[in-house]
Amino acid sequence: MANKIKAINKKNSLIIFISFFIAIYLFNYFFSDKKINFNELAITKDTSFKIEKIKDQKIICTGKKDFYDCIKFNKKNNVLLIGNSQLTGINQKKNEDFLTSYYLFKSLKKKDHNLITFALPNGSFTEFLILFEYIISKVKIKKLVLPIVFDDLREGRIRKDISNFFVDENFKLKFADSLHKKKIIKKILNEKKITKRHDNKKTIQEYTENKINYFLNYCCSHESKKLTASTKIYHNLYLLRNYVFNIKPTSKRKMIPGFYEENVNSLQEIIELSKDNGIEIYLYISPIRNDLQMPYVYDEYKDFKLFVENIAIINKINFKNFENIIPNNLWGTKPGTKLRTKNEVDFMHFKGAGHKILSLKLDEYISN
Amino acid sequence: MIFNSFSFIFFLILVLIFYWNFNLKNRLLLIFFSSLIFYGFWKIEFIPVLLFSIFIDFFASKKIHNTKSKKVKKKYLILSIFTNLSLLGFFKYFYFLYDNGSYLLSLFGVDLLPIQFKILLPIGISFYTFQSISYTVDVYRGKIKPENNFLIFSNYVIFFPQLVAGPILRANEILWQFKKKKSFDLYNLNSGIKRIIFGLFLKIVLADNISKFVDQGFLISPNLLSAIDVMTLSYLFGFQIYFDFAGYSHIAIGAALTMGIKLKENFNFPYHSISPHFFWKKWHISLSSWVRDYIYLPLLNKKSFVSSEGGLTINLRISHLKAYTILVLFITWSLMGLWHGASWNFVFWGIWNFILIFFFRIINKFFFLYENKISKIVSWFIFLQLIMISWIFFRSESLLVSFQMLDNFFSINKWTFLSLKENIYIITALVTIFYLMTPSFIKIFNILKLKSKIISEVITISSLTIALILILIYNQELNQFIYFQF
Repeated sequence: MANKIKAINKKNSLIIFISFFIAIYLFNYFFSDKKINFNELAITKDTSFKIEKIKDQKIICTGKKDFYDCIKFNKKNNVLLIGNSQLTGINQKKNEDFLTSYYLFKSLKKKDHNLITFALPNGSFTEFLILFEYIISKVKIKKLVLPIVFDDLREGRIRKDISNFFVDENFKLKFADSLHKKKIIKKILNEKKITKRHDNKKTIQEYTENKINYFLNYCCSHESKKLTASTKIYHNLYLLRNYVFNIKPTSKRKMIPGFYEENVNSLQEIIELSKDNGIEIYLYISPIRNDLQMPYVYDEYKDFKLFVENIAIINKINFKNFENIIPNNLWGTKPGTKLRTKNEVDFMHFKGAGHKILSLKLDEYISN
Repeated sequence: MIFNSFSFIFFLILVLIFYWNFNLKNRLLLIFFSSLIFYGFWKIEFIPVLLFSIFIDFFASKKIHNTKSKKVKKKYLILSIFTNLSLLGFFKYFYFLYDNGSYLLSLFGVDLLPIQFKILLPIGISFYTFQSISYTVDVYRGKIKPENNFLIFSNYVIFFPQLVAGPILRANEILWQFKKKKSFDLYNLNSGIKRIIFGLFLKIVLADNISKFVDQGFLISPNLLSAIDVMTLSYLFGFQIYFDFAGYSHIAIGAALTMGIKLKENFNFPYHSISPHFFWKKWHISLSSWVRDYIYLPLLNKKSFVSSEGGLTINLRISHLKAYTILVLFITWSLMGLWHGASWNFVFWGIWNFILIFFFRIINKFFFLYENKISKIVSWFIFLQLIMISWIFFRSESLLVSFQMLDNFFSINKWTFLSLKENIYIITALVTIFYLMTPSFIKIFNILKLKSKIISEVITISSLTIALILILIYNQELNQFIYFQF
């Protein structure tokens, strides 16, 4: 009997050992490929994600990690463009295709202006606000160009690459000058939930954990594998969800009151901040595909446009509606967003020629 | 030290290597010092507070036992309780008492100056003070003899697997385990590791991922939420706190088991309960039993138990509907709420639970709730909604916000729209379904285990592997357990 129990226990230990071994092996096997970023999921194979560079100057950045790549070339007349993945994605890209910012950068340069672009895929106005305030704390901005996309008002997440701006304690203190902004800081602190000592010294736990993580990243690229893995899992769950619930690009996406209010407040803060700092602001409603039924509830979208127009009138700022400037043939397709679907229409990104049109319109808008 | 960290894994492995190679005396020293290291990883400055509490209780209980005078016994009991509650009161309730005191005084025209200093709450203080109090009270009641070895007594209070968030142990359940030199048992090690993996899965994969949606939802102004949104958020938080705390308890029990020490269970599928009576036998069992033995039953002048099992609501041969019994129940639940946090939110959470218990007692008296299957299902369904709603008080940032959220249930307009992201509803539904089906999965697995060993082994390996991969993927930098704040 005792021998039998011993054998069972040994077998159980073996089971645990095998599980550990398989888990580590599979983790390394499946997730060791090129780093996939969660924020780039909106951009798929047929929608090329491009970060434009002219000579050595990076003209589109995405957050804190490449912040200074774009800022270091700042000049006297800086024009800042902040938007979502529409600024960085080209459908069915050809070699000669470039992004809006590329064309715009060149044309503005001739007018002695320097364009700085930040593009946050699936960005929210709260993220834009944090980014904008951080940028103007570092660089003098003359003009701000802000595309308004209905989808951006449905977003509520604040990515780490943006919340990391608050590591700068001075910036955090300066930022918290209104109730809405205090709420944003609270949201970020809530999400992080890190064991921080109130006196800001590192705990022994933080110190050892940093050392272990440093070692794991050094030896086994642990962080990058984790990011790749969670992105892959998220993407597959997303495909599965769309398949199960038959969600298509044309499915109606309703307004989300909570996020809508938060984003509208952030937009208002951006406008106030621009006024306080003498920055000219240029709002525009972004192009959207109009040869198909829009993926929004008609009345909600109509109200949204009216609201943006009103906000521009009340605040006496520039406003244009560019929703129809891209011809139907310049909108492309993207790979399926649900299982077993090959290609789907894309409402957000357009082909290379579309970027040229948008850049011309923006050049005209800003220059006048 | 946080359980869901690499530091803890290395720490535990190191402790185990030494532990199983030491004799009894060295094992006790190892537990003592490793527990202090474990605690000091967060803030070394609070170790003296912890040791002071231990020191007072050790000597007070010895004095209580050694004297025959009832007066002296009482004096030392009061000393012990006073010391523990003073520590708890100062560190945990000072701001709360000061704020409420200054508000009351302001009504009479007396304005107090705002506090200029910061008080940090020593992690786990609510747990270890309660554990210490139970020891002295049990010695006073003559239910246990005081421990003569300071090291063994210290280990009872600071044993690292349960130091910061329980289970709240009783001396009679644990002291004897420290005194006995146990030989290495592979069965305990295997079971312990499995419990740790399961606990980490609950915390890292489920609780932490759910928390992102909960945090988002609770930041939305209550007036923008619909009634269904409020219900969804309360369900999500109900599951988050369950996975978080049950996960912690599993890791604590598992870590202790790897050292051959058995701790009592703290959770047992609480959301399957058909009434508060059963819920409080399955949720945070050790605290619920503590409150039963050291507050509820003494106030009712009834004989207490010496066990951290059974939970708060027990069958007493008294009328549950007598005014005094109701008053005692009210006091007990208000204190239970206050234990969880120094704010009116928690007091109201306690009062909500008091109302639930009282309500179900009345219903049961007249409708015999648990007589047949249909009434049991109805009772379960109603209770589940009510207990989930109770978490609103626990999670929302103020009492006002809690009531604003609850107010949404009473307006017809608020039942006609949805205002959260679609994924939140899908995730809530999935988590609820999977949670409710888990006991059935376990039953099926146990049947399979009897029928085919190979299938059960394949299932075990697969589930352990999946759990481990997901833990590796979702392990975040130092994400705290919710109950650490208590």
